[in-house]
Amino acid sequence: MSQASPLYTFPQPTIKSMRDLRFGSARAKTPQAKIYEISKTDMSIQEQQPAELYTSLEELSDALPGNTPRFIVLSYPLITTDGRYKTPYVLIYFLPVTATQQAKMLYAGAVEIVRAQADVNKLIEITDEEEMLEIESLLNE
Amino acid sequence: MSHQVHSLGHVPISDHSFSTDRSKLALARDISVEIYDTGSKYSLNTTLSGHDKTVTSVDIAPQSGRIVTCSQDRNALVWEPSPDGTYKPTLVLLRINRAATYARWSPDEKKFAVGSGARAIAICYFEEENDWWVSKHIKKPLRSTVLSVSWHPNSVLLSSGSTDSHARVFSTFIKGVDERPEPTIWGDRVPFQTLCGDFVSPAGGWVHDAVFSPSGNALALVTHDSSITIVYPSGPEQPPAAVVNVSTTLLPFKTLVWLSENEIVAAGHDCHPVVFTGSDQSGWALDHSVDDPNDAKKNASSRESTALNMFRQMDLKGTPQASADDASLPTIHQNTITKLRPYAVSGGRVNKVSSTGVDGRVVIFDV
Repeated sequence: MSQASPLYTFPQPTIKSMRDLRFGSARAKTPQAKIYEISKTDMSIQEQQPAELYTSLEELSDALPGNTPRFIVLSYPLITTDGRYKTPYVLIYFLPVTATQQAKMLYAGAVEIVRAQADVNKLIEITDEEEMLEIESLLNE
Repeated sequence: MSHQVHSLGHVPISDHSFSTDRSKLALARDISVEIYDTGSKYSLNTTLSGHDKTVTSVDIAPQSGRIVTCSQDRNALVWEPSPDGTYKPTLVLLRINRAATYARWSPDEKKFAVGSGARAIAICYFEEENDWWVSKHIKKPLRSTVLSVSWHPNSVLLSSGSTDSHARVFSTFIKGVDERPEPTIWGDRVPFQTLCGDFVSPAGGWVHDAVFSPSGNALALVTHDSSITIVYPSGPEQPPAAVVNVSTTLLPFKTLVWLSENEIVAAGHDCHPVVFTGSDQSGWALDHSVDDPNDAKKNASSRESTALNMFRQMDLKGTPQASADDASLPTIHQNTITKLRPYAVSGGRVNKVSSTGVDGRVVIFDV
């Protein structure tokens, strides 16, 4: 399912924002993340306003809405169990249980498209803001 | 002491709620909710049918007039009144997999709490962003069906009575919906689902009802061991200042209402309300019975004790005494009273309570 869906669109600012994050975060020392949402009006993928580059998991967790899904592109530098440095680049699909059916379906349809556009290695699904803080253990396996 | 009695059919009433001006009465009966216009005689106005199984609870919000109903079909509905007198239902997804047992609006009407058989309490609030009702669950220490919930005046603390014999006080603070409450005797920093108190009655038994006092500084619970327990907390994370238990030889109570800080009325399987009085200093005790069956027995007019009557009775009933209470109970209610609600306030205390039960009657008692 790699063909572009006619429903979801990627405006230029979003494409640029994703590209900046992908190439800008390779050598960063802190986590780098951006939150993306689907605009209700024209079904386009846009950065959540106010647009910000989050550098800590706590800030990121606080910025997430409690009841609507979101896509988060995260670059997280860490040291593996055998001592190597690595910086995984992942897409986090935040899907709270309290979201409306309509929202769940809207975001579910866009997951693959966003994954392809953001050019990430891995997809992680979380259902709770608290799970965000434990992401390191998931990334380190 | 004349009590108003309204016999509105024989189908058991699970719950009732009056509107603030007492002009409307909502009765939860079988799978629908009946709205009556009150007056000297109660007449049926509309019937709200939206549930597939028995409606277990109904509550009318004091200011906005919105009605919340919950049912054994695992759903809750919020009924919005429209100007022409009809109600429009909105489904609330509670996300529980067992029956809902009890629903109440918070005093500020921004949220409502629903107890359920799924060992969880669903706290529901309306989210403007998504234009629908969201429900958050309190699950952590609950180990069995929640039988009742009751709000503290600050709309953040909630007490719950459960069949695991515990009455618990939780915080239901929701960021974005509630303002940070003033610190109370139950706790200061209160994030969602914090357990602020956990109480058991000495002999154990299901907690049928657990209600905060009008000030919110005490908690009364009625349990299936036929006793009433009043808890006075001393401070957060500390053992309570006083836990007073009054054991009775009556049948268990199912419901209670605080008349003032020093008086409680409870009712249950004995079919008549009973008043307790006391305080944290002097302790609590049973004061008197309202609609006392013993009084009724004494006042029962003695029938003519002629020989003819005696043999007539023997033929009819098998015993020579004409006992008037064979066919019916001496109390006004003919079956268990399941819900008491405050009806009228005068001089700082509740002086009338409304009651409904399994016999399908609505009675307003003077207390």
